[in-house]
Amino acid sequence: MASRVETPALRPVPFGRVGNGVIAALGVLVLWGLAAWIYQLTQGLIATGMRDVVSWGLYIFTFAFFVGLSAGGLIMASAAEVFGVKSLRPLSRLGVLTAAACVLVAAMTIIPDLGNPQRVWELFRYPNWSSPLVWDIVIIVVYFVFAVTDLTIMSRRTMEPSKRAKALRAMAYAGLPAAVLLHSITAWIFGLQVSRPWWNTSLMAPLFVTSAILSGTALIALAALAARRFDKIELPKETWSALATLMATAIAVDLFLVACDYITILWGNVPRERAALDLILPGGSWQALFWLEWIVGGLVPFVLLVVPRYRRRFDLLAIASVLVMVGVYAFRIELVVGGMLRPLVHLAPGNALGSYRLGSAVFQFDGVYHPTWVEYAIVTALFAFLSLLIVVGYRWLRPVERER
Amino acid sequence: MAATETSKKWGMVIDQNRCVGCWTCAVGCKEINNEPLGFWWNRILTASASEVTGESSPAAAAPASDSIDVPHGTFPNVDMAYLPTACQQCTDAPCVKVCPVGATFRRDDGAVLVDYERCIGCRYCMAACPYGIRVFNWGDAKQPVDFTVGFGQDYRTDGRLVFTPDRPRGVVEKCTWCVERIDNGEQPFCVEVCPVGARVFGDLADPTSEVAQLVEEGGATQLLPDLGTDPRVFYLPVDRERRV
Amino acid sequence: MSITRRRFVQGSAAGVGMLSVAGGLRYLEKASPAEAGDVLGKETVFRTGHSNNCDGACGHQVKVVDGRIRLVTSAAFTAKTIGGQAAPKFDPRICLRGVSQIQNTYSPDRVKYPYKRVGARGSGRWERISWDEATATVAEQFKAIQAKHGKKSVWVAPYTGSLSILEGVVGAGFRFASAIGASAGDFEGDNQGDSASPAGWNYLLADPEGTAGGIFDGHESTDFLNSKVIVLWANNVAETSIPDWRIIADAQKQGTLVVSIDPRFTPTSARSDVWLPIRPGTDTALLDGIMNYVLQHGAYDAAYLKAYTVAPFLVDAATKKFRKQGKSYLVVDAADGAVKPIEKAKSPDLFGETDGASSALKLLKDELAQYTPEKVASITDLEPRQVVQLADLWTKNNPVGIRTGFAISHWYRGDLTMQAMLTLQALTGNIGVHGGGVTTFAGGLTTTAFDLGNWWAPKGTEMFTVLEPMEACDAMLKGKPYPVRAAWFMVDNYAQQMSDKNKVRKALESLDFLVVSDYVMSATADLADIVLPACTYLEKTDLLSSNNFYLQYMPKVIDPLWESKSDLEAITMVANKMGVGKYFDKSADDYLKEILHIGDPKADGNVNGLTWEQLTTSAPHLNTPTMPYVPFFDKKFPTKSGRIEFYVEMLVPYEQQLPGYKPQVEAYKENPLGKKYPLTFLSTHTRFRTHSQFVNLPWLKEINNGGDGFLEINPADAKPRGIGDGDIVKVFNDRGFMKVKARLTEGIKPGVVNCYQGGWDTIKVKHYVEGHPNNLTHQIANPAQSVIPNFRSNAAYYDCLVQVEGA
Repeated sequence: MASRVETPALRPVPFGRVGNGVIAALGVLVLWGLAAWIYQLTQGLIATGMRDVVSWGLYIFTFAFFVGLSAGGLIMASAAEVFGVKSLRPLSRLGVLTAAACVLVAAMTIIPDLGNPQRVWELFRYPNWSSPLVWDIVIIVVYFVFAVTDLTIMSRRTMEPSKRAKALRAMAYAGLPAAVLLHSITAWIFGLQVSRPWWNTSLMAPLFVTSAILSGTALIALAALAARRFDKIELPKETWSALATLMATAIAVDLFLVACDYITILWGNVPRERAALDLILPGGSWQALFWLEWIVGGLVPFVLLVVPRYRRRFDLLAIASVLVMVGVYAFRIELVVGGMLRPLVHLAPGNALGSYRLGSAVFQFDGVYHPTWVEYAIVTALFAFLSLLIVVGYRWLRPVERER
Repeated sequence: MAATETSKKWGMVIDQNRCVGCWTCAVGCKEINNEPLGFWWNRILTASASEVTGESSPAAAAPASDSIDVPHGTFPNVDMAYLPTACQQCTDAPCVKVCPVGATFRRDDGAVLVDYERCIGCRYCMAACPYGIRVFNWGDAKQPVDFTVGFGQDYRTDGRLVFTPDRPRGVVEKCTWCVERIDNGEQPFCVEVCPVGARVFGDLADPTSEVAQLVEEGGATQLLPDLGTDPRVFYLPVDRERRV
Repeated sequence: MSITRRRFVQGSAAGVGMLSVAGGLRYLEKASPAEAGDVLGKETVFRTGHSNNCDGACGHQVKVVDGRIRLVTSAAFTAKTIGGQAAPKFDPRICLRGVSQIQNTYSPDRVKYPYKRVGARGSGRWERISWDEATATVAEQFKAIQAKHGKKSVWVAPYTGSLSILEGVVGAGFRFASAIGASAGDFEGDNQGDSASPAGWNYLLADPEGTAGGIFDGHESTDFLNSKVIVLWANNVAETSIPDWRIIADAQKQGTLVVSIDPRFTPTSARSDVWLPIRPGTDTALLDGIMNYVLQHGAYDAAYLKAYTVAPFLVDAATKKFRKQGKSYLVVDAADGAVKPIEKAKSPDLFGETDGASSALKLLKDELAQYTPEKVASITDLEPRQVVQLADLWTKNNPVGIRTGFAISHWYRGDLTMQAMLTLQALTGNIGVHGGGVTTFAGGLTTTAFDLGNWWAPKGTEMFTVLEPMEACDAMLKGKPYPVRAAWFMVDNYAQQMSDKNKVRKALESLDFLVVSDYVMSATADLADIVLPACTYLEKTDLLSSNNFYLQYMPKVIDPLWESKSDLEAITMVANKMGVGKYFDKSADDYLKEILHIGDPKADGNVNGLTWEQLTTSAPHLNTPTMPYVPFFDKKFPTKSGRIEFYVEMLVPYEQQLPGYKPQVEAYKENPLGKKYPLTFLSTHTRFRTHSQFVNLPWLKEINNGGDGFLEINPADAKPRGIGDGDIVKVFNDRGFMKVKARLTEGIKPGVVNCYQGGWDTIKVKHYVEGHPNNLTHQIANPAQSVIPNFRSNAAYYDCLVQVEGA
């Protein structure tokens, strides 16, 4: 019979003044977002910049982004176990923590997007099983429970090590497909719709999963870098190297998939399929997204992660991680907005806006979207809340082992 | 509160040879439904008659302009046709498939309706609709007069609230085929007010009805037919042979 | 005053809107909470006619619940005449403007109270006054000015803003003018651009001396179902008379060919079978070419010409007049070659010639011989083969009906164009036959159904003096033919809709006193000394029978909102204060009974047998001599000769006795002014408003570019000027300028630009960036029209040259 291993009592990471200051600042942002949401509840969604043509905006971009972060975290954590990438093992618990936190905040992100949030209970009373949104709700719930369970197992010091190891292994094998499924279903919310040729590609799920891995890994890298900087956690060189390699590979695969999509559209030259791409490619009115995805979030971090001189520098790793997240967020914007800028039936005078302002046109021929302060405030609050969860979770769960 | 007519198979045909883009059906729709400012369930799109562009389907040619009434082509070889576009009342409606709470549903007679009391305002149906015909109550309704016009009262089908003149905020809405009127033996209002007789509404299951005949033999087409939504709204395309 | 009126209304008979407890008040307060939600209050349904200025004359079914109008939709017409004969089914008839009328009647832009000017004229500063004070002021001022400058120095100007009987174009304003001996603005041939073609109509078909100055008539719109070919000559039916398009489309279904002749590719052109983008202003040349082709190919209707026209009549080469023997016209008898009176000729020679005289037809043929397809093409910018193809429609089809809009009349030579059209129709036997004719306007107002003579000049008064709108400016500015020092405008937006807006403004500013009745603060009201709040068609009793032959009783659906009153009421108040109240002491219904001679066995045949019950509970068709109505179906023409006089003797002094092409006064190719101002400026009518009414309705503004005007311009003209879609441009000539956004379209002929008329240029509301289309137009009168007194002057809006540049 194996002896019960005694592990040191769990002691929260001490936060200094700086740490508490950060927590306070994040708290303020969260409160500010809450105030904005209350304001939005009094006005209706007209307080946002969304209208009938571009009817999904910042909230949905952010939702998809958070789901991606979540899925990525768990994939990375599970891959360490399933594919035996030992160098990533030290980050497993961190990965599960971020996965749990991100999926929770993702679910929260949907609420401000609803016109009638008080009716959200109907999702559980009247689910329409043909709807990818319902599948997404299901998988999010399952996934969240799964991640929390995983985290609990990982953090329980009273469990027998071998039993724990076995449980974690099982979780990893279950977690990997769960994470892939999570973000694939989210992809299918868009990818299955024949109404938007820009969305309607079978590449959507692979693309989402890849960008999830990419952004999730970047998040974990940033968290690990923060732990190194503020908690003096030292990780083995191989771990950092594995992170960089994983991210670089994910960038390459991601851009490869995107390039496949572009080539398919451009060569086929079908007008309705080109409509969105023409707006996003250089020269189009939304070309900023192209540059963000390919250069800022693509080529630059790729170089930083591949060139030996750069990849071993922690500051550049941090920069690369941030750039990667920016690039993936830009991809989310590009996806949603690109699908909505040019309706399939694109004829004068365009679509009605669903709102009225004296002196402004009621119809919009090409979609226009300018988010308002309300949306920025709420989304910032959600990012802040996510950071808070990770920081607090880190503080209490000590997910990263010190190198022994 | 009329019971759902399960024996009928409603259909509508819009004749592009007669439609002159006058917007009477669209404005009439606003009147009968007390639609707020900024809302148009029905829009009259300026399209090509396919004479100059040669396209086969009404919406296929690229738009000539973002302004209405601007023809395709180059003077003097120009053409123009109008495409009144509202809910296509699809048989295989993507909006019905994606609504997470089943607020959008399809009756047996083909009418696709929105339950105002169930809609959570997620706007997935708007993303899923290929025709862009759904409108959302972003805020409180703004009206040009401060009293209700049109049909003026709530209407339920099978207990579900599918029309209300005073809009609740945060729900999606769209053309209802004037469900409160068709359940009562009347025509949709757009059909009644069309000054040129470009609209026909009736029972596709009745082979003697005008709609059935136009769909069977009249060469009626659908909008974006390759998407498989199988709309119950049909269009008679412009007869290019007539042109001298 | 208003309280008395309210009580009167509550006590009146059925036909008045039901008043709930709260509904007795004006539309000042919000609708009561009880009105929202599921339960409907008391509902009443009315049938009325829409008397606004589009000549669609639709029937409206209006639903009122709890004192508010809830729905306006199309009403049924009775498919029977007064006498019980079958009449065509005429409904549904309504358009986007009709279904928007609730917004018009309940508009926040309504003038709510009477106002008097404080501050300079046109400064926009007003003081609210009572009706009593307002009408007293009007009465005082009119009396004083008439005493000082003569009775005719007061000009009463009711116009086409309402086409009903008691108000507007044939309304009580004229009765008032007769009662006080004033001059008055208009007659059945309104002339802000709509008199040229009626003048031309009379040249051939009516002797002004025998028809009290001239008449105008046309085919009932349903008659076009009988045409084999319908030529929509400058007639954008699909935007301007939308319900009539149903008839055209039905005809197409039967196999009728529809031709659209228009420099713009309108919705009408888009649905027609042929579109000919003619150079604007050259229509006469095209008609000459068709006639020449018909004559050269012998495809004229010889029997018709012999029987019903002056074709065989000999015209003296020296006097240029018909040769007569006593009262008889002389012809050459082909049987024996001798010259004799037409009654005695066995076989009148259509091309007869004798010493010093030729037949009218011979003269016509000679005059038109130069209009070969090539020559016509060079004038009209069409291709020769198009001219031939068009002409062949007449040689191969019968009947051919022409529907021509007032667009033809918006030209200096509109009279000549109509003259040519009628000549062509006479040549081909298309006048007075079902499916033929030249129709611009038809309907009850053109018949003798209404006793307008007694309505306008009741016993004890003398008929007012006619002073046409275009003459009024000179009367105001120069005192010719007599001074006009005061004016009362009703349903008339003269200051904006009349051509040469800058001149009109000067004229109105020079007046001693100006009173305007309107339901919005129009550009004319802006300049007034007294503004009287008028009401809309839903708030007063009237009768509509314009441009169709159905009688549509218009009951008062709701009480006038705020302190508005019908023009009849306003006139009554002023009349009482001027001592002529005895001519205004009856109710609206009583006047209608008089005008229709209800119950009088000697009533005009058109309305004989009409009962009040029939009038108020149905919408019957007049008893017309043929069904659908065709003018001159009996081929009896009220001309001097009793025939179609395509050789117009009275025009000899103007060298216009035959319809040979003459260039317009400004917009013609050879005009040297064209070097400076190379573009022809049109200001056509859009479906989104009716002249200057309904411009402000929110629903219509939403779909009409937010209400902002724009200039249609072909890219071929825009690109060399560096003008892009949406750019602001300046449109200008020597008379004035305007600024507006450009809309590039291939649907307009290069060399032609168009800015829809009717948008507002008032102190508070501007639909164009700066200025107004009528800043560019002129008031040059065509002296030839003076031979038809009722149609003697005309505003030629489209006969206008401009230059356009980026602003």
